Amino acid sequence: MVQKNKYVSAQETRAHATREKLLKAAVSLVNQYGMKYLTVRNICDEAGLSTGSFYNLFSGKDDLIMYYLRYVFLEYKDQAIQEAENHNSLEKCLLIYRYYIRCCKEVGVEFVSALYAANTNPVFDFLDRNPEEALILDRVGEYIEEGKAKGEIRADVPTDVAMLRIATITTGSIFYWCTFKGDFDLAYQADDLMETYLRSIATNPNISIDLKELPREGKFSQY
Amino acid sequence: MDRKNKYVSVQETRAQITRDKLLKAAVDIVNKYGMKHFTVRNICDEAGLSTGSFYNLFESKDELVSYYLKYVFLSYKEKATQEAEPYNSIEKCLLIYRYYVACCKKAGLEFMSAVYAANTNPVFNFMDRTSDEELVLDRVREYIEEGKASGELRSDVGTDQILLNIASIVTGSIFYWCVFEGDVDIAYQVDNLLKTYLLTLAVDPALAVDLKELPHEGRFAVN
Repeated sequence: MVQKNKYVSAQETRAHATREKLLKAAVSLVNQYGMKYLTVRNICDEAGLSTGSFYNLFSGKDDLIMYYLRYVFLEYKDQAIQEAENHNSLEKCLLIYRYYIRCCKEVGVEFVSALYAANTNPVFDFLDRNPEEALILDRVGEYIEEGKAKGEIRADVPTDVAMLRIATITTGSIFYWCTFKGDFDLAYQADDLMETYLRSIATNPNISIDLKELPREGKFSQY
Repeated sequence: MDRKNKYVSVQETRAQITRDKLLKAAVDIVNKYGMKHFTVRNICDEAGLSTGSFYNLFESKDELVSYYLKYVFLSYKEKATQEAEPYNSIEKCLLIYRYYVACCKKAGLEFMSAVYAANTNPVFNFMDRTSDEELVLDRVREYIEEGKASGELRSDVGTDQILLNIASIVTGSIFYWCVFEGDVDIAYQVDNLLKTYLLTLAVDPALAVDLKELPHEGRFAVN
């Protein structure tokens, strides 16, 4: 959501304020009553707005949830990009996902479950969506390209395929995190499986990956 | 679905007939009208049964969906088990998933989208469900244990952990197959990523995996 220039119209400011109101209402609704009560009607009642103003800004409930996740992730993304600066491309991919998972945890398993239940949500279509809607894979695609240019990642691996594999691993892990209602160390799980994959496309499979060890906890941690 | 004894009561036979009727009606509805019309009410209308008789046998639509998948997979599972006989444990895991993916394709994209949209469906909770409810992972668990016992697979990695990784890969792949509306060569994607992962578990990382090559087609096909 990069502003093309610094002048924001009054209309846009108002839209932004309304978006914030709806978001706040949605979060307080879920926290108070659970996900079942997250309907457009309830959100608007809670925010004291008409459903018309909701549909002016969002295409539906899924769209709002996605907006929320993107909103929370925005801050993390900057941090991740900064921290990634001095790392190799494999570490960069791992790092940004560590931040993404922190963001998922902050948003909470209820919200994330609702989002990852919508496999028909166009937002997951990372090949056709509008770049403004990209959450994380845009950056990962850049890291992969960078890795290829620097000779860290094999040049014969198509970037699309690498992105699909990485998306598969994280989405699959998040899916089961939802299934087990948050009772496993998602951060470790996704990191470990992704590292396995990334090494398989590295020019040198033994490339050093020097990131902080992740703690293990929850249902699958006995090993 | 092992029977404790061979005597099947009249009541049970009747239940089985009703189950089959509902199943047939469900499949007809999805094929004729699409997933949107897949409601308990419509299924019962199509089958000429009351919703009461539906809820006697199934807790919800989700349960019928997973019952259907299990039903379709049954014949595939037998074939896979037979074919897997002479292979090593990694090949066995890959083979059974090739059959599972074939079964998903047969069940159709619409249906699978609905199954994999329910990350809270207890059918995915492979840690707590009964063995009666197992689809694929019960067999995969056996193959992994077998591989550990025969020294093909490292015994220092927990079987539950391995199953979680395998499930994440397969579920994640099916998720993106749904996202891209079937235009991903799901068989190849699953097979390839699973193989990468499974070989990291092999005591001898150069272990031969000698299965028929899968064709590569669709959106992410290389060259």
